[in-house]
Amino acid sequence: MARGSESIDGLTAEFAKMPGIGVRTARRLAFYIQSIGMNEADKLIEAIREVKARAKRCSMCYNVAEQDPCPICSTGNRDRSTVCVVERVQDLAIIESSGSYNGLYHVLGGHIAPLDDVHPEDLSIDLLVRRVTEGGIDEVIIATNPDTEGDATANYLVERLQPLGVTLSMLARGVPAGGQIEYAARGTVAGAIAGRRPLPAKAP
Amino acid sequence: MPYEKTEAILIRATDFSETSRVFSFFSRRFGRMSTLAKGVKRKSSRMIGQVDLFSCGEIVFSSGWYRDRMHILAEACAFETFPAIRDDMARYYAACHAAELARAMTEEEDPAPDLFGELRGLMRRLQAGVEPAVALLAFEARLLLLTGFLPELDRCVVCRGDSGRGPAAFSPGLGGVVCPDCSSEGGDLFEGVSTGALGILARLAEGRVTRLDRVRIAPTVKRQVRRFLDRYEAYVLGYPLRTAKHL
Repeated sequence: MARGSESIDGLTAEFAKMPGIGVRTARRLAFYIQSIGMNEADKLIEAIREVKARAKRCSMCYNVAEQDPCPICSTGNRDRSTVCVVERVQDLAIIESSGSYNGLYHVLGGHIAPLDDVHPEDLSIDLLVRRVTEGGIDEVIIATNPDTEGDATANYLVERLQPLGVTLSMLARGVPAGGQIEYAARGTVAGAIAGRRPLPAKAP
Repeated sequence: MPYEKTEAILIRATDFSETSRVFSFFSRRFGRMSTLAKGVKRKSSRMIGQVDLFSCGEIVFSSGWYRDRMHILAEACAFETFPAIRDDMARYYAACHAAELARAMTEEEDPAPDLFGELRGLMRRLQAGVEPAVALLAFEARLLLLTGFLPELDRCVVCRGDSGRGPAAFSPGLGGVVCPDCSSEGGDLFEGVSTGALGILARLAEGRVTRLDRVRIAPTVKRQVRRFLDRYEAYVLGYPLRTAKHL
């Protein structure tokens, strides 16, 4: 592989380990790093060090933050009786950015996928059950992805949480806003029909 | 680049990049095959909602190879989605086990239309409410038969005598049941397998049981068959299946 710089090859190999980055992109990034000034490179190194040293899992919700409990769990102005369960931190960020939810979260760390060797004990499900058992939570909103693994994980959560007497709900699903029924998949349309809601009565 | 079309069941999906995924299908015309679905995670993808684990439908792919490893998926249209499988953990684990087994026991691009039919039949039975454990046993017995790994179950593999003369032992090395007289020649034996349990497996493999929804197997026998299959499959493959611990 080494036809030029061994250090470029080494950095390329490290970048190529990252998700979504192939060898060509990795090589482009490596050459970019070579081209920037030492100051810029030091900033990047420092940023990586900071993330590794400071960002950690919240012991309550499994979110990634620099303090434990995380800012969402420790703030006083959120609805602490509702917990929204998501698969990944990225899902939490999207729901949070929608500005439509003011409760707490719980990050599972993935979904149950035996084919990928991910089993219930690999996720933070026991931690969620313990949170609910400790009391103070009235509703758990299950916001797993609407695919087979996400639904199976939701189903497993229902099995674990239902005996605890908490209200369980799921995100609505169906034809997306701005979409067209003509191009929707059968399952999407079926979900939309099953989850239809009555329209509010209009004043005469 | 020429395109091919086939009916297929999705048996595994893994992320490839930020927007693309690798889908492993078990197809009617080509057997197990891998395809790269470029941009399938984008909001604008036409394949959103059409390809989900265990769903069965028609796929169109370019028959050229991407990086010598997989085809490019051009189109997918789901016919059957089996929603009941996601609503019950026993059904979900049974479907996962069948998918893992079909993937492990077959070669890439080795056409197996009968096995495709059996896999789709399993998904339909799980959807229809057949007991997951029974539906899975029937699928595994048929898979072993169709892939040539079904052992000799009704007579001793050493003396060819009737295996029903006494408590059966099973020799994975010799590929079948060993009668009490020949058990010293069987090498490593699976003990504690009743002739009744092996008989059930043989009947399921022959495909003579048409109404699986009416089949009732005693729990102890079911456990025996399950344990036997887990050990035998691990022996054949050389490693235990990831999904076996949930059955």
